Amino acid sequence: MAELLITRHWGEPGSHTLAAYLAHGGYQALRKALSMTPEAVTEEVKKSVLRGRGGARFPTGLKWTFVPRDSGKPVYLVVNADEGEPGTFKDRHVMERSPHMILEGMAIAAHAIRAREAFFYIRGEYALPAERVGRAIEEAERAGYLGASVFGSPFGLKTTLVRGAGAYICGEETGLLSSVEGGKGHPKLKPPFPAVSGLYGCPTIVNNVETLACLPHIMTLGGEAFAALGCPRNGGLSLFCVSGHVNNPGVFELPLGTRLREIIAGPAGGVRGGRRLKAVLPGGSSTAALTADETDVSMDCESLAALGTMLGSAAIMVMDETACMVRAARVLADFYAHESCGQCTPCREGTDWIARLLRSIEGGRGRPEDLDLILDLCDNMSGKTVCVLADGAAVPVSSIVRKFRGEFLEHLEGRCSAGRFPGAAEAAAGDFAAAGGGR
Amino acid sequence: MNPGRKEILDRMRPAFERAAAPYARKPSALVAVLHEVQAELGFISPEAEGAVADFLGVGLNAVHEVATFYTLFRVRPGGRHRLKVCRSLSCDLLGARELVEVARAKLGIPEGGTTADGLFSLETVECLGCCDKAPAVQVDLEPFRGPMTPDSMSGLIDRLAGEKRDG
Amino acid sequence: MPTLTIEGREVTVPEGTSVLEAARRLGIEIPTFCHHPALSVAGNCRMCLVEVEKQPRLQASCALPAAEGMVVRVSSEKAVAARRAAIEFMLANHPLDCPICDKAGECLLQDNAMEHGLLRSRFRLAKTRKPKAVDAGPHVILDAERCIMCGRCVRFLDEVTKTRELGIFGRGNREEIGVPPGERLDNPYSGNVADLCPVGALTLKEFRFQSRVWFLAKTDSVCPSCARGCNVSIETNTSPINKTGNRRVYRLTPRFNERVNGHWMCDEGRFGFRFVDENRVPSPAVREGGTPVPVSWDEAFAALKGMLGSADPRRVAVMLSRGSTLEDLFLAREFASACLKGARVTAGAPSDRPPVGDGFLVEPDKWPNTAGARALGLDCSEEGWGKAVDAAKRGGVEVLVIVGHDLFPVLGSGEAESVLRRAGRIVVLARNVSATTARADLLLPVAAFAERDGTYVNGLGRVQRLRRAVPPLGSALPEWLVWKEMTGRFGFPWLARSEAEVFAAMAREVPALEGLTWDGIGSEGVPVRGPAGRKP
Repeated sequence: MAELLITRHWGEPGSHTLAAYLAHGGYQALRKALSMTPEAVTEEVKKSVLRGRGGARFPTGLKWTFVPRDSGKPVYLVVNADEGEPGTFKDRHVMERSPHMILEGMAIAAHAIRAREAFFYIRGEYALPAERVGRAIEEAERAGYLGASVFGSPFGLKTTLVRGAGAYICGEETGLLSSVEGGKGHPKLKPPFPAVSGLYGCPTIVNNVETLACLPHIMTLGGEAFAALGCPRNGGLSLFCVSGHVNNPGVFELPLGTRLREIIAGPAGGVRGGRRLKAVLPGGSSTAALTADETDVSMDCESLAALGTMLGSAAIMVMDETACMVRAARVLADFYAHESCGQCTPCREGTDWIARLLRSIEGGRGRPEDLDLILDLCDNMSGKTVCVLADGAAVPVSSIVRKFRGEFLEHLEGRCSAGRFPGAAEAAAGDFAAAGGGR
Repeated sequence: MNPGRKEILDRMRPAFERAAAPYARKPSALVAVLHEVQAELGFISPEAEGAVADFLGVGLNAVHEVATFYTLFRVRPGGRHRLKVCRSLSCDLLGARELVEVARAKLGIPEGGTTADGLFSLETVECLGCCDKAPAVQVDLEPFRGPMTPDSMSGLIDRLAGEKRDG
Repeated sequence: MPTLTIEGREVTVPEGTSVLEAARRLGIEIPTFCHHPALSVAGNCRMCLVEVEKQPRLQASCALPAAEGMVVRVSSEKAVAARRAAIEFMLANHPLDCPICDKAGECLLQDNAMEHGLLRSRFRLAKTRKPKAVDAGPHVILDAERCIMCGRCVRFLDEVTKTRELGIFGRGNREEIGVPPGERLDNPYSGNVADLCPVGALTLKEFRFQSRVWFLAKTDSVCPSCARGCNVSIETNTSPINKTGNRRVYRLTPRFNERVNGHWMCDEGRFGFRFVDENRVPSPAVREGGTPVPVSWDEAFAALKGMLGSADPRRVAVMLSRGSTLEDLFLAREFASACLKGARVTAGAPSDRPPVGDGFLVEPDKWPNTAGARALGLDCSEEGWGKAVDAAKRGGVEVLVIVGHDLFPVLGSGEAESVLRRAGRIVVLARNVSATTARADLLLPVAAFAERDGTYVNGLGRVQRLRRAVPPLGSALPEWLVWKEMTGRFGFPWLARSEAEVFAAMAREVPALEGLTWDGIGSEGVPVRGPAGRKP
């Protein structure tokens, strides 16, 4: 069992304080990084095979190299703490329990890309994490680990805490930047990519909370040692979130390459009530569902891609035999319909249309042609939009319709073997108004 | 400027300035300033939008667009306490719907509604990021509560109602 | 200068050109909704998706810079399918208001749906409801259900007028186009949003339910409301059915002219055409013992000849108008110099509208042909005008000829009264009935700008053509024909039989028009010779 990196001291009360962090060797990795050139730091991170922990899993070191050296504009580092992918709650824990680890990683990243200003963007609902991070920034600045001149070096970093106000799309890089700029969270057309032209048109790197929290450990252990903790092409440990029909939902720090079935049966305590496993979303709601007999798979990007799904945010949602898959698809579809920013046609109309069809089917008012229509609409939404929210909506819904077609057919006949058949009234309740995000 | 707009600006200027201080470009402080309005007034009225527009030197248009885009901002008055029940997958699997039913019955309002005494609004929201404690509820911007049960939901409402009576 | 291949054809374009624009140069029109050449790129309608070799995802051609060696397929199966999907999505919640929507017949959504074969909807659920028929401003009606969120209107008001009245509020499918609470869409260019809107989400009150567009004939012309001379299309409906009352002109819409007005026109000009069909002087009239009596043109000309022939030319004042065309003014000038030697001829009358410009399209000079009048050597000075007015007030004018002006708003009632009371015989050439026409001893109806060919020279020194969209109402004649008849009756017959022939004559005599031809003016006009008018 590998030594824990991020969660190692989470059991200790006060782990979020500067004192506790320093006691465990905090900010020494930053000191080491500052003694290296930005290029050397980037090399080390490349060797670590660290891939973005927000969901895209893009190689972090490589992403940093896209920042042009000669733009003449300031470079910005933006921390993406807008954790909004359903099933994902790891970043919240990192912020509540090890905020300094994130800040140290943030400073290391800023040094690597030659940024002198950072924006820490936290989703608006995360009030307690924002409080912890805010206090940590103050502590760190007072102690000289952030601010004007860190460790007496020419490196300094101004950090601004920015609060979101409730929009999943602000977890998308350019949607986040639009929000920081004081606007609606509308994603921007790419190219240009943020690394070249991002915040205020300046080179910007957006990194996830957990990605940054890995950096001090990479500097301390060395890139290769970090990589070795994982599996080929997927370096290091990763924070897996497990929720749903399990006995012990929570965050588990495990090597990339651990098998999904083992995660569910082991730290997550197995399916609750000893019931039968029915379906699993392996990497957050935007990933294709796996049936019970597809769960003997290594949790790494390539293995999951081979099964037609994704590692995503490593948020595992478990459904047992009592779950109605039609309802699950509808709940997922509702999410995307509610969170679509509305900018582009296929997503704005497609997510809403699909959600409504699923409502209709769930309530026993579906028609036979609806299933193929949903699949067609998913296809029509995919690969055609400004950002990938539409793809994120299409993937889980279409996978559930395909893999659990029988349950949908039952609903068309007015039956639900999972036992949950909501009344027509409830399924028809267009409850978008309840959750705000529009008038 | 109509009186409401100017009054609001006068009263909230210190808070606006604190919120806008970290931003080199003032228009970028729009979301931060609207948070202040939401916290202070409970909703973002047309007059408050005007005050924010005046303070930041941006158009009313830009303010209204942002105020209507984000879930945490509301542009119509609502209850003093926003009871937000998560409705995303893990919470739904673990009984979020029952929590909503309990609240509806107890408060006598539909989803999205506000009680006549102005104390509670009932909302269903998307993933709070508290799936390990599903089903989860957030009251205003307090720390998340969960795992909730129909009983604890009922108890929560009683407690909050009691606080208002006593406090 | 990258060279790329689009649908098998090569094209070389300047750096920074989008694939959409590059395709245009090849004559390939990729369908779009949100794109507009005068506005920033939005890339949100997803209609212009094209397949680019070596790129896995379809690309929005409006936002994709052309690159060397790029190979683009516009009409591949994949691209067409994506376009069809986008239209189907737009139609999903779109209220099928076509039977009552003004935009029908010129609606991009209709056109694209037909072209892509989308005749049946697969959307069987209740459509999203939003505010309809919202009074958004003095001229604009908003229908949020019809809106397809292209954002053209928002970008126009952000980038061109910078007044920012419209926004897109809310999120996702619940997004709504609108004005923020308490605001109005009220700026001098508000009408342009109705042209910009690809569907019927923004329409104009003045046109609402007035006519179906397929009954409208379009004639290229020029707006007469100020010295800018925005290029317009006069849209007329003269069918015996499907029209409103006796209206013939239904609307003016801007025509693109890079050098004059771009894609836009101001509201004052756009909505200022009612005078063409309303309140017109129906026929020549002679006042006999206090009451005007309709007479024939022959009788009218005889009366005019009688008045002018018997008067001392030095006691004749002619108040020409800079709202008249070059042809009108040229013949008036020729008539006066041949038959009224010594008469006071002034083209200096001010407009009855305040001389205020806005630094964009609206010029402070409210006359469309000041530069033209000057080029013809007519006195356009305030001084000359003042002297004519004074002469009349003093009783020094035996015959006062007024072309087009209503003196009451121009001079104020007091002054106007003095002039009209002290002047001897009053001859008025006018389009519309006014307080001044009521005082005419001889009233001659003349044609409006939409009823005749002719030319103006705008304030930028550009000569532009009016074209006749409808015949003159009643017995109205173009002014130049009146002067031609009069010169004939005075023994100096003119041979020109059309405005084109008059123009040819002018081109021989007027330095500013030297070498120009009627046909050469075309639909976009040409610059005049020499320093006529101010520099743009």
